[in-house]
Amino acid sequence: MRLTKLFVLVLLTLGAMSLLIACGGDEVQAVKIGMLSPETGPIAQFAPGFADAADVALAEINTAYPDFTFELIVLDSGCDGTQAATAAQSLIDAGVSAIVGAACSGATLGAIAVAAPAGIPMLSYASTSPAITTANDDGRLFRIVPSDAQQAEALVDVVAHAGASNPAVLAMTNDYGAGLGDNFAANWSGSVCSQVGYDPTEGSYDASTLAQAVVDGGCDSVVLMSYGTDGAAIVEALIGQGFSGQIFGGDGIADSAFQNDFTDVSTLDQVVATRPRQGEESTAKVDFEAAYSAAGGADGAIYTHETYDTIKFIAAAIVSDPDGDLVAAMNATGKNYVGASGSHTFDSAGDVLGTGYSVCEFAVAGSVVDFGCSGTWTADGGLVF
Amino acid sequence: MTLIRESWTGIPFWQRRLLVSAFLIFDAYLGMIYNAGVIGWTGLINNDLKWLVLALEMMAGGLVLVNTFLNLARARWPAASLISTPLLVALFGLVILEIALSGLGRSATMNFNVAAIGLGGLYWAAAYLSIAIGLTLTYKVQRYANFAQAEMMLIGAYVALTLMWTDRFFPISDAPKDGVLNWELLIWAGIFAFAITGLAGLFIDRLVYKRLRSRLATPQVMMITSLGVAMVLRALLFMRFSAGTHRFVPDRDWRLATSSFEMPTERIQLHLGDRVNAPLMELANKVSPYAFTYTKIALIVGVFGSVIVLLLLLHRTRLGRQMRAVADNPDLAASSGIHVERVHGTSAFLSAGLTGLGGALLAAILPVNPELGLSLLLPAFAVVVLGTIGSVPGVIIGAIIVGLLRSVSEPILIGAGGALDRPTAAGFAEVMPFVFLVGLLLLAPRGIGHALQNWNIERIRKRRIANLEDDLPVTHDIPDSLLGMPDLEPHEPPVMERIAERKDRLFETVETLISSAWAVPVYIVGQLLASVHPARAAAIRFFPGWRLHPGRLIRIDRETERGSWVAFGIFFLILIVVVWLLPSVSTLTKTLQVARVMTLVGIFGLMAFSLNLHTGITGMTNFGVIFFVGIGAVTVGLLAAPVETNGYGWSPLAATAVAVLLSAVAGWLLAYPTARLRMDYFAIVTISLGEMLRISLQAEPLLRAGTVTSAIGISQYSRPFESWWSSGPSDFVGSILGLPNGAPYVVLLGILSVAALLAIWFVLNTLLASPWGRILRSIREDEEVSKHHGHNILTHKAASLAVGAAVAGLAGALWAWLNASIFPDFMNPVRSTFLVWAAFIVGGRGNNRGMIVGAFLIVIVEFVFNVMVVARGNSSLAFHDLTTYMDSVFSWLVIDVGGLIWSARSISEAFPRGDVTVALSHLKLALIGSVIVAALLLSPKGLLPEVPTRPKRPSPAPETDRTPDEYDSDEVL
Repeated sequence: MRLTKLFVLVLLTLGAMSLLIACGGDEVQAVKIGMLSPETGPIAQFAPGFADAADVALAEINTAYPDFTFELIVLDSGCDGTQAATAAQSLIDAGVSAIVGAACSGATLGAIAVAAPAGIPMLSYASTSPAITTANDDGRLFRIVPSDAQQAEALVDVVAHAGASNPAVLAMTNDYGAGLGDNFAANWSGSVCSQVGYDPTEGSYDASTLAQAVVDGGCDSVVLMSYGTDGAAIVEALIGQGFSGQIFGGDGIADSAFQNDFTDVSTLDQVVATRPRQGEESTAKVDFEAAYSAAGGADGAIYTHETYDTIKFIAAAIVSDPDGDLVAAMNATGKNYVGASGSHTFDSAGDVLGTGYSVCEFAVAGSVVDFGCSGTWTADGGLVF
Repeated sequence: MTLIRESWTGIPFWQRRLLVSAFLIFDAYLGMIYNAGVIGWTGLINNDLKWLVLALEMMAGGLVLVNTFLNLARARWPAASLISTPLLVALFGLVILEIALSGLGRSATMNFNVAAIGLGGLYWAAAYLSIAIGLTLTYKVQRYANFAQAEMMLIGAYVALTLMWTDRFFPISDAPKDGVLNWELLIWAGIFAFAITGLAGLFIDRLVYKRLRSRLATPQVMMITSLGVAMVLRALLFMRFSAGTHRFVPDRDWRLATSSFEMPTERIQLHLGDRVNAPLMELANKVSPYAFTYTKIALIVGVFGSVIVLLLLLHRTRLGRQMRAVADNPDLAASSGIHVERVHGTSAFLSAGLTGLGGALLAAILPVNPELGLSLLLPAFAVVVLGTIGSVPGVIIGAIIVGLLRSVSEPILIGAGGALDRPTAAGFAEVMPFVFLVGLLLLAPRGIGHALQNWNIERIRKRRIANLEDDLPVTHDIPDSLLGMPDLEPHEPPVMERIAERKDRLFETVETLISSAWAVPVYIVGQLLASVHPARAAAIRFFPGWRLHPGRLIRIDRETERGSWVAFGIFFLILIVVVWLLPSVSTLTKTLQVARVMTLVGIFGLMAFSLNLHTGITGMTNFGVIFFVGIGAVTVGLLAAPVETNGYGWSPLAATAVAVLLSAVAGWLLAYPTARLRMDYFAIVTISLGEMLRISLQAEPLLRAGTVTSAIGISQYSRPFESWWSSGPSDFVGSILGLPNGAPYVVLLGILSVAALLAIWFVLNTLLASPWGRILRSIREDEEVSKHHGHNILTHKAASLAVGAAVAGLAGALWAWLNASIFPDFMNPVRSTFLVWAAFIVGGRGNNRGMIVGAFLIVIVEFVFNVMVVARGNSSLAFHDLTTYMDSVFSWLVIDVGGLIWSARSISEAFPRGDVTVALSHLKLALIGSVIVAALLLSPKGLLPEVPTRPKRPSPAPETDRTPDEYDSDEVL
């Protein structure tokens, strides 16, 4: 075949693309913050929530710091190391000062391999894998979510305090669920009745089967390491199979918005869940939630508080020392930083130590759901109600 | 020596196999119980790995045993041996578990709840069947694997949601619970989902596949086109309905936790291993009934019911006969007056519609988001293969088997996982369909449907013989039976015939309806296409000197060696220019960017080489590129990770050597069970292997390294020359490039990748120019002929698989170094295998230069799109106006145009913030999908077609030596 119109077509398209790209060299002086969000891939359903929370934070920082114009560039991480790294490269090419994200641990680790040599710090809002702690990052990788290990300890105390002796553990087979589940089982002193992993992608698991495994195993309680939607399906299935024991959960379900995942909220009664504790006398959480729902944020979202915090935190760090080293500024700002997801202090590995956990419970009367956090758990103080 | 060999070969074959199997089983038994045997004595392997190897050894022995048994029994009891085989293998698996647990001194309890397994299995069967039935129909009539079938399910689910959000039905869905089931919305949702999804399928068939059929595209091309269609559809749904999760509530009472039948049940408890005071098996007392929700019953009844109606349609109506005739032989069908295209259209309508119905019913059970259906697609393929591609009864049985298998395996995995410190083992339930499929194909390579068909033929033949024997005396008694023959029909009970006739008429009407409904979009598309011509004329008028026939200006024949090189050079240069033009803020970031592009082009280029060798040259449709890449990456990561974090502490280069070798061995071994399989079977087996490895990364602790807590993923492995690089060369290269500090490691990786790419390119070209390359091509063209010429097809295929797998393994090693960590999502076929296939098709099958161009293209597209997204928020950039314009068009389409169809509620549910904007990351996927489809429609041979190797002739071939097909594609352009 000869060089035909196809050829010219390709030439033209590529030429047009290059022309547009060439025009792309901009000169606007503004602080750019990059964000990696899993817009495609296995947890795409949570991306709208991340974006909405980020927009709330962006509006606030632009009001709070009038001397700066913050711009947020959101790229798709695809929940995958390779795509996230390419996206991080594009963000760095666009001149961002810092990158917020990614959500999936694999994506975060892929992206830091690009960001670290470029000297750009990263702050993840949802990566819980322990591999983040040990990543080869020149001290440039931070995260605002506490490690699984501590929350597992908190859950162990909560479950034991409730008098359960033979809990079943239902955990997702991703780094969050499996990590939390394994740590729970390792810390639990008695017997774990049955530990079952499942893939939270809809259509990959059958909630009734999981519930049946709990009932058949004769377990007296269930500990869920889940996100909201799958957690709700499992709770409903448990009730449907006649399970009468107590149900506990991690921060995937510890939000009053969890009730939106239910068809019939009465099954939610007396579900107990732990989540990172907010700072003393902080209104950050309440303020954020009000702003989030006012902005029409997506329902059933997870890690929105953390997403909001990361962007506000980056802005605070940049403002504190506009021309200095951002990594140093982040370490300085990250001392008892009070955010919507709790009070955060970074350790030398860029992890937050956490200020303990709140113990919350759903109480249902009729169709009214009351979600209240009455207890707290801290590493040294233990469980206090 | 010879004596031993002679006495060995003197034993009958089956006895030899029995001896081998007995040795394997006995040796593994010794190893498990007494830590003795070959593995125990050598002591090379320890801990978990030892147990794994022992279990595999025993399983291998068991498989040989079962296979020997099957060979012996097949002749006498064909059906029974086939059915009992999987049961025997499963039983043997339990025996292995029992022995292993005894050896470990642990015990496992498995709870088999009869009702939960049976009904849960039926639920899975219905979910798989709803996709598998559409796949089967497409396979049967249109003869390609339709990867867009999962998207049809998604369309069905969203039709149900959209219907729920209408003002007419929303009150029903939103009403408080009252204890009464309201059927109205559910039934309408099913009908609408069937009709609308069916029409969508018909529309796509006319728009895309009809053109491909008319130019006699191969099933491979159709399959890849469907991949593109799938990307476009899913992306469009993402853009319209956003990524959020929604619930389809046909009426609140349907979805209550208490809306279920209480099924009385029994629970069988199995205690394996070192059990104390517990019997092997017991019936549990006090078993609460199993609650089976109404929504699941609706799904099962709806899906199985519609499939049975389809079976009736295929076997009892004229339309069905026509469809079967077209499936058997389209040319013959056309010659006997069947409107083949109409039959294709009906088939497309039915296959999409049935899956859409399943989607609507599934939406009543699962929360709906645009990822729905993907996790069901691959198991559905397994179901289709299991039931012998294209057989409807086969697929029903296949679905039930796979469904039951999945629900039976769950208690086993939960019990065994608990006892073996593998709480995530239940995750393996997802791959059980694949494991079963691969195992079955090893034992019975032609699927269940084939056995069914044989059994059926046998049955009919026996009945005939029996009838003949019965009839013989009767014929003697009634001598005028010959005369009676034509009169037989009036004696038949006329009711069935009349019903059949009515049905025929009904379907005629349906067909007319479909074709008239079809006329509208055809008209619109036709008008759109017609308007292209004025545009083209205007363009010519605008540029009077410039003709849109550049072929007359420059003539490069891309199917000659020289022309191919020139075209390659041009494409390559353009791509280099695009990379050069990609914006970046500093020299350092630009260096990083170029190095990243180089590395990615190296990795994807190697993967495309591998695919090209397997598929483009040897003709084996390999959908498991990521399987071999994964073996390479995982091996490199595990072996080179520090010992204290569950790794093995090897040097990266030694690990790479082992990784490449392992991939090659895997490729070679794969040939033996699979090389004889049909093309589609091979594709499904390879894609299944990739999925199995991916799920293993999630669920198997042995495949985790890099953290002390053995969290999912592999990280912290050492990379080659990393310390050497930072000890000096880094600064040296950095000073050349003008960087403030040393050059980052990725620069070295980029150089390594490009070097690897060039080296492998040279090696492959040498190999392909050798006689071996010609043999591979001849296998692709005609296996029988190559066999006739004395070539051992199996060995050559195995060698081709091994070489390609080794190349892919090397790509995997490079990939592992680039990402610095390996997580299960890395093996997602959408981001690896399918992308490489796109590069392969767009670049040009059978041409390694095309592979490089294709790989380069898919790498660059990602960067260019990111630039576009970056521009969105910045009003000073050229792309900004474009994205704003796109947003306004999209908003107009959704609100003003779409608003005629759907309610305002359905818009506000998807866009809760009120701003209807384009999701660019999904637009990207839609565009990549459209590029794949367009490339295949316009230029099926790719940018750089294969250069045919012809022996040199005394006189040069005339320049116009082209096939008519290419003239056609020329005209289309």
